[in-house]
Amino acid sequence: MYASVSLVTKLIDLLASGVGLGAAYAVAALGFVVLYRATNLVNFAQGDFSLVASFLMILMLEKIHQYAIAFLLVVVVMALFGIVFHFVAYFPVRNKSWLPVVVTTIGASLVIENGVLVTAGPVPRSVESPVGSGGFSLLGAHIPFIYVFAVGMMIVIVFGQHVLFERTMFGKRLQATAQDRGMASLLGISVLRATVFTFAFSAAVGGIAGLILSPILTATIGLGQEVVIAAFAAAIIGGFGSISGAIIGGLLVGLVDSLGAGFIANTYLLAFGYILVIVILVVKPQGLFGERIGEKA
Amino acid sequence: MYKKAKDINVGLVTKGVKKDKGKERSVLRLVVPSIMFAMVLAACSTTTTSNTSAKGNKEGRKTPVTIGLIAAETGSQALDGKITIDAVDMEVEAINAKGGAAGHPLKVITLDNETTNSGTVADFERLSENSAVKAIIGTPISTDTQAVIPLDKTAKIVYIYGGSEPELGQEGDPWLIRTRPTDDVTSKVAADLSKQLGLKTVAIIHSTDSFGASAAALGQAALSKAGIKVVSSIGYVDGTPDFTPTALAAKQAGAQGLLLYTTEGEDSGRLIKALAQAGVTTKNTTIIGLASAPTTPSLQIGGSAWNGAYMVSDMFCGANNLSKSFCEKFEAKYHLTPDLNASYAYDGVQLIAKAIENTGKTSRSAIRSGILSVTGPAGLEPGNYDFNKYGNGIHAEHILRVEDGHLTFFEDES
Repeated sequence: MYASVSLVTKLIDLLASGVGLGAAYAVAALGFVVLYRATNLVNFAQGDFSLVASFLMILMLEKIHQYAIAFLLVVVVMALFGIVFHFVAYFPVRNKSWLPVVVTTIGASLVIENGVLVTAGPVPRSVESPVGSGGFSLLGAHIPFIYVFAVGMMIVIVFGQHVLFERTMFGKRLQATAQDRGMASLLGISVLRATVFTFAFSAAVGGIAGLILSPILTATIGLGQEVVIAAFAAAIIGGFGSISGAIIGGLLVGLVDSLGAGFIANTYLLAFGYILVIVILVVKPQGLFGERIGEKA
Repeated sequence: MYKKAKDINVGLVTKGVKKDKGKERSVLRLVVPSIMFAMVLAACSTTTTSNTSAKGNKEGRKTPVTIGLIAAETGSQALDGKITIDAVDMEVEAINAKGGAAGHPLKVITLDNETTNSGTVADFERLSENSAVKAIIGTPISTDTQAVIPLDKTAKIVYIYGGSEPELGQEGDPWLIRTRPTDDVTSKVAADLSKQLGLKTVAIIHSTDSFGASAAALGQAALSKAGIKVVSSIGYVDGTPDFTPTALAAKQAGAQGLLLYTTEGEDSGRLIKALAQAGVTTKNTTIIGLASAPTTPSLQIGGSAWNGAYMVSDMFCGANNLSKSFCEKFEAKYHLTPDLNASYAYDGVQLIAKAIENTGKTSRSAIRSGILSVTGPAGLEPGNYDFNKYGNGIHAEHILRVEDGHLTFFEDES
């Protein structure tokens, strides 16, 4: 017979799973938000970058047995995938109003999901965890290594993103393009190059989110939808367009779901994040870190 | 630099002027084909007519009998649907290779329900309106069977299904044929097993969908009747990303045994892993998995965490020679292990063939009466066929145990 669970142990267990999953959601939301900032595009196919990366990882690991190399290759392929996505799904409609662009991303999402279904088949696949299936104990709670990996990856990506956007001239150009495409063009910045890079970055980050999540959730055809919904909720909570908001929003979605399910009602695990979204929309419609619409204009 | 910027500026202005109809048309040119392409991809295998033409058909002796098959080829249950479709195709091929059913070759028209109830209803309408279709094999999902019942009463066509909700058979549709045990049979078997294993307290973990909630209530009643105390009933939502709270709630319940009523195989696998992480393992708790627990995705994802668990299932590859032979051929051909998604549909094909052979007729009503008169073993499902007034033919379950990642036989119970 196992030992019963104390309140502290339960709290640590729930915090660990909330932060672990939240970190993965945060990474997914980051890709979502970076793209939105640069192009004003709400990309409903963002979760499918995670889906494609998960199945690519399975394929890579069958050929290359070293996780780190396979990981880097998947990230590179996903960046290329983002470039293709840009030219196929965004570039032709880039000057249209938001509706056809959004509808195109929904269409692209269907194409990608069914493409994966036809190519990889419907069988859910376990994805190897880079840190194994073990964990460590903390005051009786079990903390899986994959959650630690998720948080570590989130920190690395946020740091990398900060350096890229804030400390390099290329990043400044990307920011200038995101803030005012017309003015950036007048200043001689290649808007096309900046946009293409942003798609590549967004797809690569979305892919990394998939590589973090798939060992936890397993790779299924529905993975993309799970990711995009969580990332969308995180972006709304944090403030659409805010990088730090995406991170905080992702962590909050994971934590609120986990703690709500653990201490209030397990049955409503998926509802707590959305309750938070509604509360934020009522109390602070621009999100926790979002700028007011007037400020953006 | 200046020139480049100027060029771009002019370009932008020009584009602004060129708006209106031409632009809208170009939007349509781009958006509509992309959606159409997506829909075509999604539905690329929506309608499939199997080409398992028989030797008998080639010889032109008797007219073919068409069976309609509704299964998920896309959506969240695409894997379940694939197993069903492959099982039906394989068995139809085998029957046709032996000359068909009483000389009638069998044909299958497969429609994709896209894992939706509305899809099943639409597919049912298409199939039942086709006079060539003499019987329909539906899904193992109770809710879409419920949706089909009013239409089936009017269409008057045999609808073979695997949904386990007991009340489906009591809806007054005499054309419904169930080829799986109902949830009350399953729950009684699970309760008897719990008693046999000496459990005094049990916690139930169940999906909150209509199957999970209903089956858990039946399980609770059966356990209470067997004198076993149900200390907790823990619901979770299908597709939940995090089973940690569920596992902790199970741990907190402190029961000797756990009954798992899971709808999705992926959820079963994730749940058993979360339970193991929380310290609830088969070494300290008797775990009994039902419904999707013994399915392929569940066993694959759960891995070694399942070792030592009991399973209540109506499909087992090692049950008898027929099951062994079927599974070997299926695995060789499709590289998948067949589960309950195969057995109910396989038996459906067998029953249709037997009905044609027994009555010598191929009308919808003859197939119905022929099926209802079948007794004894007729396929992969456990026990003997013995149809009651509700069209339920199977009243037994296999009890299995997981050893080294594989299902092994424990005993049969009804």
